[in-house]
Amino acid sequence: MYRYDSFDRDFVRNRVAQFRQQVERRIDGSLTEEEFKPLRLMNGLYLQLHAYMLRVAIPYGTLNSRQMRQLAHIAERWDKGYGHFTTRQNVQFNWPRLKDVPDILDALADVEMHAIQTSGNCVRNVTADHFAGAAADEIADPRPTAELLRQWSTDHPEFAFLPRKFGNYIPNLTKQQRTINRAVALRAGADDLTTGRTLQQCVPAMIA
Amino acid sequence: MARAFRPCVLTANDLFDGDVVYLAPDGAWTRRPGAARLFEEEAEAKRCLAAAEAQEDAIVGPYLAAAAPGRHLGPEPLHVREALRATGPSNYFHGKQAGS
Repeated sequence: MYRYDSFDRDFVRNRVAQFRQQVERRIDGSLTEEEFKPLRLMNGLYLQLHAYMLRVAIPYGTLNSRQMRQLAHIAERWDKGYGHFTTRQNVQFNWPRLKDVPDILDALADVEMHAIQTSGNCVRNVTADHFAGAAADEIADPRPTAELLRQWSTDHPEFAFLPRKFGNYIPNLTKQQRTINRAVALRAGADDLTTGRTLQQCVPAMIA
Repeated sequence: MARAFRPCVLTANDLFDGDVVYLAPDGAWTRRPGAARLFEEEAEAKRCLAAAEAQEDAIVGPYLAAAAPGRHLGPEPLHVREALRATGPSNYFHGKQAGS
């Protein structure tokens, strides 16, 4: 799986530090809710019916054991001991307190994770088939392509304020395709199976 | 045509943990829906809503929610959304129900 380089690490840490200041300014009254709302949403923090909710991206659904343990640690230390894995390969913590969120984001950064672009009208977390790399009849492992797409779309200024959110899904093309609704699904075209050079955008489906 | 005023409570989310809160008769914010103040006069409800909108250091998104006098436990919400906010999530007891 992809490992952060120094640029990635600095970028995510700086983003957490920036958000920490924004939370402090919201709590001390320097920022109004109207000013703060778009900032918290850019960092995956919603205010829902019963509490705040922090949505953490799991790019193409791939986690290592250290990351999984850190998610459990976050749930136990700052939430109610559990999280909610979503169909779009995120994990949501449903009861965080506002002042704790920067600490949670720092804990995520410790294991090369973040909550950036898990909200708002931008390119969301890139998802892949949950049997990627494991299905016996898989034609192509979608994860390298998903990683390219993740890097391309992360913090891309042109796609930060779209008319609507935008999800991407990379299937692995098995004989029995699993149907998942996404804004766009990319799959290897027939020619690509031999050349492996390009991807063909094939299913502009629905924005759920 | 404007809707006729209905009795209501003033509700919001707590700034610090997002919990559902209600304006109580003493002017404080309470987390117990049964302890909420029931407004039966529109002018007073709107005046308190305007005052609540200025309390950005404590709450988020105040609004008036239709309610009816309860038999025993104070105002009762009329809308299903408000009933869920008053009790907590409907799948497990891990919201307000957990503490009651």
